Amino acid sequence: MRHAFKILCTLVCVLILAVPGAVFSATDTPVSVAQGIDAQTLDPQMDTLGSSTAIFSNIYDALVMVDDTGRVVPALATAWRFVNDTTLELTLRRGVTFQNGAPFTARDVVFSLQRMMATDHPVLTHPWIADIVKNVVAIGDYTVRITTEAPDAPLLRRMAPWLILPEDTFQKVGAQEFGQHPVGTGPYQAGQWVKNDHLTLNAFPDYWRGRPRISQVTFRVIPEDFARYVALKTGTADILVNLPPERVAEVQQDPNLRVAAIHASRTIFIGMNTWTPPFNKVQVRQALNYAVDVDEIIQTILKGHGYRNPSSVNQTTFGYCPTLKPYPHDPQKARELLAQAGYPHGFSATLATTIGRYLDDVQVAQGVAGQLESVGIHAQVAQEEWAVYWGAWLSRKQPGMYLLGFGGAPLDADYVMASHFDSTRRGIYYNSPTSDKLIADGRRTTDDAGRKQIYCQLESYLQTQAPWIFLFDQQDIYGMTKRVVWQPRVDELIWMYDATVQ
Amino acid sequence: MQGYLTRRIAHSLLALIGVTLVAFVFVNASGDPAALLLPGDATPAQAAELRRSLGLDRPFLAQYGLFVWQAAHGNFGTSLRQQLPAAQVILTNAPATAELAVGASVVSVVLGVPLGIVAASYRGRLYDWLTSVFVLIGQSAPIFWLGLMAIWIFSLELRLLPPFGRGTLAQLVLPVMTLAWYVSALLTRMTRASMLEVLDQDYIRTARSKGLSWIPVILKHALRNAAIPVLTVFGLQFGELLGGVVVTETVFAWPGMGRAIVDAIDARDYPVVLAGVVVVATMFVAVNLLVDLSYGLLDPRIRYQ
Repeated sequence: MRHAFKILCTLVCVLILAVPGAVFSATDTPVSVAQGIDAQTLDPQMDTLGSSTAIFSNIYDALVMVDDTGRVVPALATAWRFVNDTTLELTLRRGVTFQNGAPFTARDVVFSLQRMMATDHPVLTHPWIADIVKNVVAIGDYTVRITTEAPDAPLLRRMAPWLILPEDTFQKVGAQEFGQHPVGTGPYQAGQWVKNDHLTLNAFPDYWRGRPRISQVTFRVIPEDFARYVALKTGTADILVNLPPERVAEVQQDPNLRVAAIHASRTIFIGMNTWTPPFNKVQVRQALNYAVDVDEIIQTILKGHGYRNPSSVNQTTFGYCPTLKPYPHDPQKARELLAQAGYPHGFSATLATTIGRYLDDVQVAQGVAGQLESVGIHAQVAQEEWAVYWGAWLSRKQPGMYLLGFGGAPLDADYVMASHFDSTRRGIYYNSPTSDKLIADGRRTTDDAGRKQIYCQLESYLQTQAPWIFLFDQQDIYGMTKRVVWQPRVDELIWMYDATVQ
Repeated sequence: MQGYLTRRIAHSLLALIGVTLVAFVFVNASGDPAALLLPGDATPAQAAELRRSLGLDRPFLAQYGLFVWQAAHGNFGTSLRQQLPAAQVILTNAPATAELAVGASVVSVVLGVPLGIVAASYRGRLYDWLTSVFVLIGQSAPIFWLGLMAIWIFSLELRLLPPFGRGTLAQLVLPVMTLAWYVSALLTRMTRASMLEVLDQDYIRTARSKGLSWIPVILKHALRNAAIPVLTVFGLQFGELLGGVVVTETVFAWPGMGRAIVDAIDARDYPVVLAGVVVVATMFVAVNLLVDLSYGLLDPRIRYQ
């Protein structure tokens, strides 16, 4: 009897050990990714949040992709050439099918881009293409010509987030239905979607790059930082987006987990409304840069999880000027400059900040305010909810200083220039004829070496003009289980095609 | 009775219009939905273009009037973010929220009322003290803290219950218990106070002196008479419960209406906010109407006119 019991125990033990081994050793175990927010719709032209684009890149393809080194590589387009200054001709990949079996042709490209261009009921990706692309035409089934309003060197990099939709399917089911049950050419097909809970993606076996190695990826929505961390600790999530820095040590100590960090394409800075006193004086703006000790902020507040950046262009982005030297921390110099500008006793101003939109944003703003105090500048930190903050920002009503982050695709210097410094585009808090001219030159010049030189001139000019207090580039931190092999990307996409399970 | 009902329903409709107007004013006064929808590189001109295309450039009263008119016809408009009918956005999440709210209500009544009775019966003794501690924590600790502690203890340390999500019974336990603690605390206190008042009455002494044992006296004679204030509090507390649901859903990643509404508020997705406000307000009004009607069942002397 006792013997039989022993045998039974052994059998049970073997089963307990063997069954999970058998089930989980295959590479097609499902993988789950935990993010703080869900996509709003799966129509990629109606949701431009980073957390949503991260998902879309798995369902859809673009014409080109930007690889780890910042190079533009083929995707749905296999080759391209500039026919003239303003016309780009792309050769499309043959034999690609959408997830519902429909063939991919030039018509789908024309349809997707024209939908982005339409102005009567603009889609939300409209700003990515507006005033840039003039016309898109198909020449036969596998060639497309894109005409731009003006010579546009960053065009190919811009195209990386322009995802391609199937024209016939979209027209047949309509936008609303398509947003719930999307069809793309990407490596994963959307499966069950329970809003605010999870979205299941299933491998698309006929994907043109080859069948994905992980058969199922689930994007889970867990808004609370702590609950998300517990999900990783208990193994219910394999990849956790935005691991709080204070958890990094704990995750590293866990034998089943690891931390993956990457220099992100988002730059955090403090902008100034350079049209209003005292920020209309360049000495004042320079003084602020001398007064702030950026390294100390990175070390004490971010615990080292940030990269000091002397420039307005993110360091991962094409056009960043590596020879630029940061402002030294020099409070004495700051006081002298303030005196020259007519503020020997400093001044008071507001410093608006987002709340929790960027890592430790409020603490960074408070840290900067504390440092400014030492040169006599009294910065009142105003914590503004994003809707209020952004509404005011876009209508040019941020009165003084504002902490903001900027980045993501396209990874090209023209992007930040257009959005923050170009008078003809969105330079609503700072612009000048000198920088305008350099920005236009940079956009027009087609050879990469020449462009880089122009951006170096531009960035060093902007540094002396100091429309921002230049701070740092963000670090994106992911917590991961060790069984999943996956590399984070600079552009914040969660590209699961290259991932595997050990 | 019929006249009473008609009047109550008419009052409720007025309340609904008032509540939506307030919500509409607040959503509109603080931030521009179009600016929030567009990507971070959009220009002010593009935001204006989108505002026009969404009809957000029309005068405030015209927008609100249109909303009321359409809502009266059962159309709450289209979610600005999700490209779906706003009512659908709210209603698809309603079952998840109902699960939480009903679960927490049942648990809090089952827990709170007996605890209150016991506390009243053993006034000033150990049971009463223990109940006070339970009430004190439930009423003073914020729900999100209770929730995080629950996740920490039961999911991370003990690995007994899943920390988030919806679908299995196990996933229901932590959010319902967290929410129920909060709701039952007040219920316990009310039951205790109300019972103490009733237990001093002459008819209780009469019932006891004619030889009835303690338990039937408590359950039949005392509880029934003590129930009315408890029920009133429960009805009013339902609003608190709905507030607590929002926090609970966020802490436990529960895909319910509360989170849908919070997301909509963040995005100033006003059709969804308004649809949510209408649904929540209707629930609140309905529960309180039911509470008022149930007084008649408990106390036959009450008449509705």
